[in-house]
Amino acid sequence: MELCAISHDSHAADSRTILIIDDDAINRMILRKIFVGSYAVKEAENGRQGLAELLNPDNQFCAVLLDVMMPEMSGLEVLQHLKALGFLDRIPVFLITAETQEKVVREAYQLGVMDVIKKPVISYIVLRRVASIVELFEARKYMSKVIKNQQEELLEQANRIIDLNQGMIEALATAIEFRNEESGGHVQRISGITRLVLENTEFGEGLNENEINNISLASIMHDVGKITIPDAILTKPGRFTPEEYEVMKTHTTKGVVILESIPQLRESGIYDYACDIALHHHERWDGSGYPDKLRGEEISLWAQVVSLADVYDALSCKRVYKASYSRDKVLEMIWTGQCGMFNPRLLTSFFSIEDQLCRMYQSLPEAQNF
Amino acid sequence: MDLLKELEGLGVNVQEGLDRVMGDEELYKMMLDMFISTIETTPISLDDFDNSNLDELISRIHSLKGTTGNLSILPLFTRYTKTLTLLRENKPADAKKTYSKLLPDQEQIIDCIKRHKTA
Repeated sequence: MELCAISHDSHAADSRTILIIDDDAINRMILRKIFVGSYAVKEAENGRQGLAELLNPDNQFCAVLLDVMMPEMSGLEVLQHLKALGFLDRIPVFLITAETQEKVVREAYQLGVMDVIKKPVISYIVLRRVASIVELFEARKYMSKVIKNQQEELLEQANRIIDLNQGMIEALATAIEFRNEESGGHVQRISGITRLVLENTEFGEGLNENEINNISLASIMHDVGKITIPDAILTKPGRFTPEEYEVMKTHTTKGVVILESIPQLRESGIYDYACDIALHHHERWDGSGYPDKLRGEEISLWAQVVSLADVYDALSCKRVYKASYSRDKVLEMIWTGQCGMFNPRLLTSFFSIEDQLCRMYQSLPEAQNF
Repeated sequence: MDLLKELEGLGVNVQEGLDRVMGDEELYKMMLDMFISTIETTPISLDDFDNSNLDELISRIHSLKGTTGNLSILPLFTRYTKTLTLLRENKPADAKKTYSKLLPDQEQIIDCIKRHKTA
């Protein structure tokens, strides 16, 4: 046994290493002798050295045995530092002291020491008390790891379910579009335009990432009510008769009825947005829209964005009842209110990002004249 | 006579001291040598109790109290404990008296350890 102040055990980097901080060589020798059969042991001869060992990222200690009266830095000062650094939640610290003053013991417990062991120590008692706590901390650490892994797995599963839900919603919307003899890209483009406007213009200010995600997903279902419209009207190449137009307009109210009949959707964050968008995506800023003839700010900003996106896409792409229009024509028709009036603030925001949309539309076969 | 047996005769609880170091006799004897070394390297004289600043003395008595406790040298441990208490209560004259009483026992124990070392 060497008597140098600090002796490094060969297993010092072991996670089952005990750090003994004591200025008295005999105390360190005794504690080493007690623990060396079960743990790797590292020593420090005063509080400052001990703190340095604890702060060294290469070291991992399973317990600290700390003397109180030491030169340079006392045990209580070490405890104060460890508390401030949040170490005491991770590493159990035992005060090994001959101090019998109650105020010292009380202060140590208040600072977060795990246990106070009186000197001279009794070997089997100190070994058992330290080992029990070390086992407890190891079990707690293991449980935390297990719980963390389970949380990650659950999160992964939840994300998969979200993806699946989104896929099913998109599939449903696309199926409805196919009835309309459209390609299926319409709902995706409406969702993309909605996200682009809300994320990149002042019109989306005040909405957080989650809200924008929900609105973008909800926009996919804006025309879900069209599934109730007879083929003869839905796919009619020419203009609607007044009676046919009245039937066509019911896709807004019937869309909400369909959405309300999906219990799982009610519990989702997109439900309110989806109902509002399905019902009000044909309302117009001047009150000339349907079904509720809402005007101005009575129309939610997400319903406003989806209605403008819907018009932009309908004008740009070929439909059963019309050809694709040029970009200039599309912008002129929107700007002059030929498809109904829009919020001027929304138009400003929309035109500020329209360049980005233009590039995408110019590559679409259904927007051949754009 | 064996060192440990003789120490027992002087009131040292050798078995308790050995238990503290998991029965390691070699280590226990090495610590006895360290105890003597501490006493001889920084001896405490009775005059030290007359100083106005007692902090250094308290620190040394505290250390010897710990060492004698660890080695279970009970006749010394008891008196070092009492001496330390009196010093902390700022009663250096009483502490001096207590300390002076432990010196003959301490000399006897040191003499015993040294004799066996040279034998």
